[in-house]
Amino acid sequence: MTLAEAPAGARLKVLRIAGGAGVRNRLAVIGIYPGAVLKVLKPPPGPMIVEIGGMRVAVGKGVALKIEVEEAG
Amino acid sequence: MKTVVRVALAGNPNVGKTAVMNALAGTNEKIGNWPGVTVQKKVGSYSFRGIRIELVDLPGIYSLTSYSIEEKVARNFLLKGSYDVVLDILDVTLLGRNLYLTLELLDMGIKPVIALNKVDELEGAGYTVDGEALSALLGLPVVMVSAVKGRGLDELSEELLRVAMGDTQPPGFTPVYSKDLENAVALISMKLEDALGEKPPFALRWFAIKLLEKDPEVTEEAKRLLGSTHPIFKELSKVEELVKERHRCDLPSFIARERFNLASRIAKQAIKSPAREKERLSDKVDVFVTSPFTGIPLFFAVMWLVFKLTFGVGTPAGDVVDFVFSQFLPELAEKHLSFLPGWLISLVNDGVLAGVGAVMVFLPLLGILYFVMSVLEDTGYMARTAALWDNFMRMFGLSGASVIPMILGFGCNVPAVYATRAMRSSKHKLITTMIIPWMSCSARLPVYVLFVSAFFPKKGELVVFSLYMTGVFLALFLGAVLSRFLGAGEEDFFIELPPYKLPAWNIVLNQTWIEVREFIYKAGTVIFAISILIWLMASLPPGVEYAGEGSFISSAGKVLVPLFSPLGIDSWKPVVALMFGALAKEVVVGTLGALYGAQESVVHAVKGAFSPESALAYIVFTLLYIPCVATIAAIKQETGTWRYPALAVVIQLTTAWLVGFVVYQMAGVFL
Repeated sequence: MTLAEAPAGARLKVLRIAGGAGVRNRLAVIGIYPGAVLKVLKPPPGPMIVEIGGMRVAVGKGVALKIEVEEAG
Repeated sequence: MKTVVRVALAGNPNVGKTAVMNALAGTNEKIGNWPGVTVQKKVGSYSFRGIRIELVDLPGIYSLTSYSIEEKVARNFLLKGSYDVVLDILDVTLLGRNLYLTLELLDMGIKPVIALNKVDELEGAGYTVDGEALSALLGLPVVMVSAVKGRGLDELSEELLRVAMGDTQPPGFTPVYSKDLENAVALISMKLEDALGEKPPFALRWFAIKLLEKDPEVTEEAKRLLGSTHPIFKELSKVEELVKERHRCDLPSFIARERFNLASRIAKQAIKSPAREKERLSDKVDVFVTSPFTGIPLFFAVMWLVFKLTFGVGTPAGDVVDFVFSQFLPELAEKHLSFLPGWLISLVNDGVLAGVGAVMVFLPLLGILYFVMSVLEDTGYMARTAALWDNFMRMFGLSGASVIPMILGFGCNVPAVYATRAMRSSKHKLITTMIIPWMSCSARLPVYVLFVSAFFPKKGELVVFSLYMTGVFLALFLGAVLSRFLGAGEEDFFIELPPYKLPAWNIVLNQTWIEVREFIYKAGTVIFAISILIWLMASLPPGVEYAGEGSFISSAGKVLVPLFSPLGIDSWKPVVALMFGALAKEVVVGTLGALYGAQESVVHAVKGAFSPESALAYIVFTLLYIPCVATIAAIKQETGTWRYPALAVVIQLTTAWLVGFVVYQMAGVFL
């Protein structure tokens, strides 16, 4: 599933990030890369908020649709 | 021995770099631009133990790639700039992720002094930080500071001097990543060494890592030096294949992951955190603030409060300034300068005091506006606002990334235009740049306030608020039209939400003072010069009554008056004021002040010259007509061609006239 479909409180593992090198790189340097584990603090409507390595990041819908995730064990 | 030491300040966004700079250098700060680009450059200085320490604030960045202009600026300065020591500021509450940049600095061969900021926030939360352990791990000096509480600052200066003077040379630690990555780095740097011989342009390890990261700028440089068919590029793709196969990940993300892993391992050895983190209250607040149904009403409430505060306090304070410039100083001049020729006294009173004074009246208002904006930024609300509006902005072909430049536009359009540099999609950037001039900047506020206090004293806030909203809605409409036209896709928007905090008042006040000082400087130079020019044009040819019929300035204005009669403006003086207002919009007030002279207050003069209907049309026209010269220059610089500033001028003049016309006609029906 994509990040945009994830419910509140879900702990997710990033599988793949679609899109160009620019957005992939910008996400990677704040800690969102394949293999990273993040937590959904707020689902849509409005921006999503995820926690990654102690940092809170608001993610727009466009980006959330590009991040493919699975439930983290 | 050196008498001046230059320190480059590096660090992630939101680590408190501004606070550290402020705590060390106070208001002794100069704002400028990085050469060739339009990213703001701040340089502060202070003296410590008889040595002048200059702090060069690099843009806040997460890494040293070349995907944003801020990163490029910081990186180029670190590679080629002149400095004695780098100060790397880390937010101790996010140590693991902040160390990412530190590791990149070390990869580059830079050995920074580390400042662990916000140590006060860890106390009482059950954390312990071991600065010595961190220092030993990194091979770098580590100082614990709290910029807000003013702690650890002397120790920090001491450490900076020690390294800058060469008394101690930190050993520095070379990051060691996993075997796969280290093998790749070793292989590529060996090939680089063979190919480049004695004179590599960068440190070999860093050069190799950047090539593996597929950094556009460094790859370009390598192609230029070695030719694009060099075998090294084949090696790079081989490494990439290998990583993809073994780690199911593209190479740049793989390197980022490696660096984060190492950074968090180091952080874990330096920080002992409580067993389990409690659920944060701020996360609940964030849900409230960024959900549309609750967040949007809150946003408008906050904006309304900002206006209330700005006018409630700013207007009476402005009256005091008005008294000084329109009564106290002119009377003083007449009493004590009576030995001077009459024309010189007229220059002082009708020209300089009337012109500069008319603008200075708004100083308290602007000061409060700057103050409130800076508080909103400091508390963390500004970042939430950008997130909140992202979906909405999408409907107009914009994105949440456009919101911050737009909000900045309420202060001044010029930095707002420059702020679009942070946007990645060039089409969104262009559209945002084009609509920013309709964000009503603080320079337009004096014009509104003048007319509102003359005609709508009881409904002042409502009228001014409507003007701001008119600007915003027209901007969004134009955004939608342009995005249809340009076929702009979607901008990838995400933003860090820094923890909420109470503003650090001393820092907010310092920042406000720095901004206010800039405004006084502008009023004292540009507006001073324009005031004199207007006075000359209004006094010549010789023998004419000041700003009377037959003066040069009246002839200039009269040519254009017919254009403005449909808007209810039949006199040449307001028209001339608009002409000069193109230089900077607050000049409209200054010009009106100079033209109507100091003998009567501007408010009184305006009451005589306008009707309520034409006053409304006039302020709407002022809101919407051409961007000021500085903004035009900024648009030219950002878009790289005269086409877009020219287009902006045409669109805005036409819109201003049309809307002004409609407002005048409608107001005639309703008022």
